[in-house]
Amino acid sequence: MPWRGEWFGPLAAVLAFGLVAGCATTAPRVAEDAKGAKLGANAEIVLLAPDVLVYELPTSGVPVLRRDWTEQALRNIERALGAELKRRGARFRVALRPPEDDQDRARQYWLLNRRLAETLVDPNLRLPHKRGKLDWTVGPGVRILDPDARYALFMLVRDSYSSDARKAMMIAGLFLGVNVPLGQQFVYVHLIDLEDGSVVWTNRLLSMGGDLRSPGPADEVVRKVLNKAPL
Amino acid sequence: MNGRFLSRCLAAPPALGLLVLILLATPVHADSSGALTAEAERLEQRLRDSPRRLPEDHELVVHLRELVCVLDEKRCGGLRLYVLRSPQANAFMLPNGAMALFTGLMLRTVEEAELAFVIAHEIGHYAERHSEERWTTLHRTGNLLNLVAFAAGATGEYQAGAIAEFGIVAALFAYSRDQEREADRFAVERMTAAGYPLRAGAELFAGLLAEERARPTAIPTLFATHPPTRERVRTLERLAASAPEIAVPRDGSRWRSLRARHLEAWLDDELGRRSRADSLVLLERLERSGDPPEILRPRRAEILRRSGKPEDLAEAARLLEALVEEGQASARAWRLLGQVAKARGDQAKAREAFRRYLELEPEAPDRALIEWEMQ
Repeated sequence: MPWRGEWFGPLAAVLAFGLVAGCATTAPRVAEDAKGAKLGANAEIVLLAPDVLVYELPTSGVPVLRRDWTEQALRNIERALGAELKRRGARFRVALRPPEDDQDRARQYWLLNRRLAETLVDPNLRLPHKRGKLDWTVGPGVRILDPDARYALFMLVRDSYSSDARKAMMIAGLFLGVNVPLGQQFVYVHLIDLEDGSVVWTNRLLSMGGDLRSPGPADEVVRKVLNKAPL
Repeated sequence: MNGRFLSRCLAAPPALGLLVLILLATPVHADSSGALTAEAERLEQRLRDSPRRLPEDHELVVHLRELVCVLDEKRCGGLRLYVLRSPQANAFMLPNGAMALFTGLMLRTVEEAELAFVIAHEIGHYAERHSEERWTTLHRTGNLLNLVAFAAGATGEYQAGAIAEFGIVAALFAYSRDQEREADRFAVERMTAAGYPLRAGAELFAGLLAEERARPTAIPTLFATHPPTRERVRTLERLAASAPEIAVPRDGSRWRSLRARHLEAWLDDELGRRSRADSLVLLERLERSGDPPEILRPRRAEILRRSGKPEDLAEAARLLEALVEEGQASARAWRLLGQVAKARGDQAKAREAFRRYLELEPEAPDRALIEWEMQ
């Protein structure tokens, strides 16, 4: 019903992510091209700006967005993505900043990529008629993101880390058999074929570890989520 | 007494003590207000990026920005307005001064004063820093719930924990009701200063309440984050009755003409919600408020037609035929009458209605379909 400060919803969504239990799990999905050919070999890739949000989980359990941690994680992920592609010998170009102007078509396609990612990771938005098949496209207009590259890579990251006080609380809880959940990490990635806009590969990673705020673990997380990428 | 219970009892005091120490040592996060600002800026960016947002130079946005300044000249320079095309009857304000208004709300505010009430109410939330208060409350409640959980864990009474949580959640929303009252008070003051009649707020809420009641899944009062609308209606009516007569009432004709231009599009958005009972209540109220019947009735008939039930089809036919008799039937009305007549098995009437539709709309995009229906 009518008007109230509607900014708790997204927080609740982050909390809901936290409810999905477990250690590191990945769930890759691949689509083949029309001729069933192996994708990606030697193709040029354009790296789109990842959408990263890093939260702090204080004692209250209400996630608090941390701009400083988000910035750190973003830098580490961008660098790790480049390093990983180089390691694989893939050719790539970086378009890591989303264009600012909201009338800009490139920005519109960046937003469309994000919306697609959010749709694919939300179990409530799963469309029954797709029957679990990876059958999505953002349309051929996505070519505007790069005139030459074959693929665009987009990553969505939602991460949270417990404050020291919460960690102490968790230990106190151990004595009483009270479970105090700590931070959770969710990493999602997809590859778009710039020829026709179709999603050719997705993967997701849900874990409790891999501190993206430091370079080493960030490299490891990126390597893990791109492990089976058809590049 | 078993050993497990004993060990729990021994562990409880130090563990609880430790928790209390932790909670006392950590500041409540609202005080480090950067976090709330970061969240607000992120959400404002989502508003800015929304495909539903009307452009800055849109006539509605321009007029609404003026309206904000009429209501609060002091603050309007620091506020940013986002108008979103959406059938929701909604408006909200972020703690950083970004205000979002939905066209679904504008459909429901026939008079400018009603819209002014909502805008002033939202500025009230901002002026009184209610988001910051809620943020603090949310964190305090979280901490309190931890204490309860720990206490429950210590005694093995997990159920007690669950019941206590329920009480605290209710307390959180009760607090929020006070904030709504504060924002209403602020709105009443700004409305009076700007020359808007106070009964507008009460009338809008009475209308929204009627819609809410017609909705099949009503939210229980306990979980409403705004005061029960009935209570709000009564309070506002009381305030309006005791308010002094306005010497120079503000002219709302510009809003009426703007709204009239967008009315049909907004009504179609409302139909797109695919809701029945509450949409019908809304359309009937708008007709009583003076919106043109020739625009409203075909849409009422369309909602009725969707059910396919004989009594609904009969009512739809009655509404449309009344328009025909008054010489007010639009192309849309004729088309619908054709569909209703066909669904009721009256082929001759359907053919005639479709013929009139194509006569009025020779370039109709669905011409081929209608011609096929006529066979």
